[in-house]
Amino acid sequence: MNINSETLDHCITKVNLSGRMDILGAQAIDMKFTALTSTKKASILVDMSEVSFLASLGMRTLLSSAKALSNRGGCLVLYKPQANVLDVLDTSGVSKLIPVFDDFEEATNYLASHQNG
Amino acid sequence: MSISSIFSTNQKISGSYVSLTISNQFEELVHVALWLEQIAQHYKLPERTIFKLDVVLNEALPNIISYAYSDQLLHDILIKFEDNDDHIVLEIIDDGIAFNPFTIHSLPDHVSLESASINGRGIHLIKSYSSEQQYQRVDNTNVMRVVIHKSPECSKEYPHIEEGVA
Repeated sequence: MNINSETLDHCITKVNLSGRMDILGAQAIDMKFTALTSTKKASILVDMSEVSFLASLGMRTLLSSAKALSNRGGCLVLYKPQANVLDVLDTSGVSKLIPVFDDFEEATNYLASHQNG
Repeated sequence: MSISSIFSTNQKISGSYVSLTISNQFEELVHVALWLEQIAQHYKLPERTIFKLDVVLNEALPNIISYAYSDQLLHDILIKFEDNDDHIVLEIIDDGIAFNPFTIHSLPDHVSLESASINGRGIHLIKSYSSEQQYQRVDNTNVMRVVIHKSPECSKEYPHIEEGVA
């Protein structure tokens, strides 16, 4: 599993994930993902479009950072998960806890409005 | 990993099955992924069925490896796959401490991210992506058996996922 990041307008950090987010994948990116999302009040857009599989250990990585960010006044959203990955997010209830967007502009607008709110 | 059994098809009255034995180490899951690919190709399983099988294996096996053993020794975990006309059967057998995963209650409704647990979704996913679940304790082994139907319901629920020939 691979991870990289870029900075967008409104100080939004886009974290790009790719590969299988199973236990081995989650272990491979966990430390870097946590480091990237640990900035105080950060706005994080996680691009899930290249993630082909998501297991509960992968969701743990996402939820852990989303909760920590929320406690610090930040926000994390998921962008464009593949059909099977979205299915797992829905089935496990995680999509009710972390906002999921299929439209890039909607995702960045949500994060920008959260910064102002 | 003991691969001696991989793709040596044994005949059973109820159909054919293949099995894989791994040891209780996370690195062994790489071999499970490869095995799953081989099964999918060999039995021409529908994409949706492969996905469900993938989910069940990736939730059950890490749980066993993480929690089933009180010692630091290597243990075998046997995975059996049986193909039938309209469903598949997956059995996972380990000699860890007795544990029936299906007594775990369903996932509670979380109203907020702040109150939600980051753990505890694996068993819920196994139940959600299989049609039947059974647990037995046999000769000091845990036998987890799940049935996954080759899902025609997919066309209703997931019109964007194309199913193969069921």
